[in-house]
Amino acid sequence: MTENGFGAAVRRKEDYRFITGRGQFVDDINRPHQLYAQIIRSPIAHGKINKVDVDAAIAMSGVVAVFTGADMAADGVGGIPCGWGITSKDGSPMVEPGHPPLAAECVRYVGDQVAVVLAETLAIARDAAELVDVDYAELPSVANLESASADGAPLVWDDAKGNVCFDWEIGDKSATDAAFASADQVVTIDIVNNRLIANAMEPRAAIGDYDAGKDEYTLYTTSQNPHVIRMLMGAFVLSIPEHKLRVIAPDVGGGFGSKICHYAEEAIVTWASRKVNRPVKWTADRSESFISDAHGRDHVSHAELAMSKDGDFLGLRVSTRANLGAYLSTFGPAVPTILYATLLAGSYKTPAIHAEVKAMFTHTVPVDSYRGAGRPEASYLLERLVDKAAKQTGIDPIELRRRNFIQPEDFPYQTPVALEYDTGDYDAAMVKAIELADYANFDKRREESAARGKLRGVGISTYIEACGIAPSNVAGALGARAGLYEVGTVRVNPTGSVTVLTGSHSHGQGHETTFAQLVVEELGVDFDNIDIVHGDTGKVPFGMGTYGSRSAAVGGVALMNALEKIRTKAKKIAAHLLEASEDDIEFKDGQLSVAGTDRSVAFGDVAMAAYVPHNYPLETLEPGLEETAFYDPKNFTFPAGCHICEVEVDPDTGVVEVVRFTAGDDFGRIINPMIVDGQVHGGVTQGIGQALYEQCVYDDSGQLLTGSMMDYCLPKADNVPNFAVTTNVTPCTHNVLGVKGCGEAGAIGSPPAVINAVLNALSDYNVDDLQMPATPERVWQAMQGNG
Amino acid sequence: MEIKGEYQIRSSRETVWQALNDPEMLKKCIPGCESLEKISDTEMAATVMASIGPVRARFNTKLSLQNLKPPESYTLVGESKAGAAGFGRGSADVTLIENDDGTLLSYVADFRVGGKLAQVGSRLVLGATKKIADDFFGTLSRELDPGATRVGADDAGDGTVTPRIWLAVAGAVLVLLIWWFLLR
Repeated sequence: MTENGFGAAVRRKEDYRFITGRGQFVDDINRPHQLYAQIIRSPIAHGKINKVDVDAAIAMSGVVAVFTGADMAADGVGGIPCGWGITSKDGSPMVEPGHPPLAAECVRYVGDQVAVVLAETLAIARDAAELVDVDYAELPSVANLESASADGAPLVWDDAKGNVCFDWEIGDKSATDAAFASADQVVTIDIVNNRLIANAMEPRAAIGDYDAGKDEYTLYTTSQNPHVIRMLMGAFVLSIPEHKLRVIAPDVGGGFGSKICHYAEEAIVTWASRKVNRPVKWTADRSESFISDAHGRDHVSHAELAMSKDGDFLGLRVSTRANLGAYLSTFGPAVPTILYATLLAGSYKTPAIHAEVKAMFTHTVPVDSYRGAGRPEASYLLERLVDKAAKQTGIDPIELRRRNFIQPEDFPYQTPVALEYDTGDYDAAMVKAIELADYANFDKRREESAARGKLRGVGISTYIEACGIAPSNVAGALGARAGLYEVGTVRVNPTGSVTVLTGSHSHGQGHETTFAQLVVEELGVDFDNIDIVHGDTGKVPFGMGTYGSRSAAVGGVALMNALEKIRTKAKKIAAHLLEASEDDIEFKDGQLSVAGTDRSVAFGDVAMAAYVPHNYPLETLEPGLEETAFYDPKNFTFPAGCHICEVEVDPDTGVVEVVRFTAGDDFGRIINPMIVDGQVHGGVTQGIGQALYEQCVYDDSGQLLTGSMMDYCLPKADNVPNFAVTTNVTPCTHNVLGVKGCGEAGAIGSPPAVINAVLNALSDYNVDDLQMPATPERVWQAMQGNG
Repeated sequence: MEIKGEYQIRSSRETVWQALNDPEMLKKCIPGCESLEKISDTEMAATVMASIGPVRARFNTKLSLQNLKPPESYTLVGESKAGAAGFGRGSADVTLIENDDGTLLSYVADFRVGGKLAQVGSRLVLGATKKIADDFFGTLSRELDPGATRVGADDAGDGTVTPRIWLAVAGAVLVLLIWWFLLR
């Protein structure tokens, strides 16, 4: 292994600036003469806007302008587009309502944007916002899937009868029905996948900066994918051509999917900046984040598993209702379909699967990706169901899983739900996890807990996930409205230092370190002489951003391909300098040498020759040393693994404590094990959050009741144990790095492991159903037989 | 959310009824009331400064009197807007019953809040609103009769003073006992 190269646990380069407070986040940026925007949001879930009286606000000293939805509409501003189209069973397209950045006629959730105040200071903007008087005619609303599905329920959109956006299916229904008809036993389960709010540490922010001299716009925004925002906002909302719109997503403090979407505020500040000819800055406060950041999950499902008498899985039938909120967010429709139901095979060779998904509108914040996006919902449903099957059949949960695993010799494996898994060894990862978890001695630990009056339980889950959505043509056929490739540019500077421009975006993942490691490995350049540039459409040629654990598997491979082009060209230059044949040049550790001789030239000298081409093959080769690659993967990558959780339940209070947690993951080859461990730690913590603490609650009238840190319970450091993590590597077969992706796995594998552990702890209490989050009250009630 | 309460006032029903319809009296009794003006015989507009949990805001309130049955009962309907802080709306059925000790005022109020008030204050709203209602009817009762008493058991009420003292005494004894045990 090269020092600082592929596979080295290099400390993160970016952390110096973060831990010394030198990061540059959007709110750290201030433009000369900027104004501050305060958004006026709907306090009701559904209502007609009768009148917006802005006179008192405009009259206030320091207020520059107040704009309403009518002003934006009068300017011809378009609606916020959805990035994914889904077709219903009956062939009809999903209902796709308009989504103006500022609502002009009707508000549809608490938090919907109605007007914006621009003022000289934030304090003035806030005071003036108090004076904007919006007269609403309140209308009846639906705040959850239950009320949205009721007969005669109020409609979020008139076009969406029964509040259904689409009614979609996947898999072979008749084959599945046949499997159930021939089954010896059937296990059923009802699952609620609780609605979550991402709560990234950095709230969203945006600065619109219009340059009247050049007629150009710059948007600084907290985004995971600045090029996508440029495309969506430029082409669909504000009609600004790409060359006149630069989008910069600088340091971003966590995204977890909630910063993928194109948000109204981005369009509002960009548009408003031109209207007043001054930069306009908006930063959400935490309260605003709760009611305006896209929420996650929110599924209600019924599932049935058909088995032979020996416990072989024969068929799986799933029916899910998914809450999309009031409007379609950028990836909203893809999450409960392409990213969820296609994963229902899990790591098992269930031969027949049929799933139906009914996506519903409600008067709530739009729902989009949240760490794992669809895959945690699939793995939670499946792994709860499999554990229930183990209990019902009396087969050991590990044995039942093992019996149904897709075996290493089965790859490539075509699932009944569209995906083709390329590689994996599910048993090997499970065995590693079992060993690391000291599973064999669990009974001893249970006795020890019992002696302290605690109920100890162990839970297991084996998950599969799909990362790096691809290839573009298949994604397009499935409804994607954009390509899903990635772009990498390698710019070797004249003195041999390297600047990498990547279309991936780091908002905590550590690209500046891992991508630099790839350059070290391929070019032998010193780690400190490499700069990774991302998040700026003015610098990076193009990109699709970071989500779905795609950075290494797609962005990293694009970078590798560009590095390969650099290596090829460098060899040609070296061949000229060394007066040898190109085929005889070996490129290793930063030296280009003629095979079998002691003649060599350093990579830095090759770079210099490329930019000062006095001795250079100008007839056959261009000067300069810069290459770009676009990489479109052949398939998804399929990380998999096994999570084992041990909990202690206090029988008097119902409090659950996670006392041990072990993750055995297969992420393919690993660029930086320290960063991978960190990703697993974070993902598992968020998964424990979903399983035990987090729950977004609306009241019947659509008011968000969990709208602050007082009421929305995030996991804290003392809620998680030290994690034991290990990996088993089966390299991805279709990318040059052999990587699969690790960003979301923690949040995918852990929730079912936690709940299975809690149920195991309660095995003497005849509890076989427990919904997330397993709060003390819920657990205690279940123990009293009130589950 | 529903709250209710009862007050025994040593005044005639007519006097209490007059007070309930007197803007000056209402202004005095609504906690944080900055202004209150009569728009018509049955409508009033008020500006009220109030805090609910971490949200402190100026509420522009419209009050109207409905189901008027002088001097027995009416329904007080209110809607408050507090800009970015959200809104509150509700109604209170107020009934006056003559008895040997004067008048028994009872109210049943139903209300809800929205926007930021619901978002960050929902778990505090019930307590805060009970206090506001209690302050209102309590002040009104005492304005008419300094010796007016709140009657009936209600978790929001201050009831009589005696049980609290006993509670404090019991608590102190308990603390002393635990302290003694721990030191042994």
